[in-house]
Amino acid sequence: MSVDQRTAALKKVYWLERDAIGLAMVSSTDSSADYISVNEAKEVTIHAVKLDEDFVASGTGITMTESPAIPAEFHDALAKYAIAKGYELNPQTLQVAQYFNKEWEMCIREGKKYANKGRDGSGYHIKQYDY
Amino acid sequence: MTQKQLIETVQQHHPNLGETQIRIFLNKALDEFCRKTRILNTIYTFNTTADTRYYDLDDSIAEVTRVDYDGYEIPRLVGKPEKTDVS
Repeated sequence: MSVDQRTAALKKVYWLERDAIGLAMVSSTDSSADYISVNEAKEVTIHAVKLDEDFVASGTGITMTESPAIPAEFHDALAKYAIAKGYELNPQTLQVAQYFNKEWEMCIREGKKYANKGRDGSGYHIKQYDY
Repeated sequence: MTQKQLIETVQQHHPNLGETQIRIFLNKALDEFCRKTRILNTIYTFNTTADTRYYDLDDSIAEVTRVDYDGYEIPRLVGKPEKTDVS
């Protein structure tokens, strides 16, 4: 890639608004605006955290014979959440619901550790994110 | 575990709960798990069009962590451009 290509790319910015991504470039010709729309066709790559597909009875999604994409060791966490919610439907079993909710929270903590740990076994680290 | 196995596990505790209700709970759990742990990562690619400012995000995106333009990481703008353009 040429230096010009790099310089041109680095003048672009993005922001998120109304479930869409906005892309613009620093305005050097139009003095009435700080940023103007991009005027070329270039490839944009979005790196993102994604949600899994929904469980479905049939059709598009996770069908009855398929498994979610999250690692297998966390699959039973989903059942724990559903079990807790089931116990919450009856006021007499709220204590049991609390037990399963605690189990669920523990799985979330383990999931966070798993997500932040390198697959080579490198140490646990906290990622910083923009908000 | 497959969806069927997950439903059977829940039904061991709640034999009277229907599959539809359990599926609602499982979907809520799966969304919450993915959002809170940020465990599933992916990349989406598209091409820009001249004079188009906004591009819809896929529904499955929970959080954008980085954007590359023509192969280079670009910064996230703090706030919004002064001049509004909704194209």
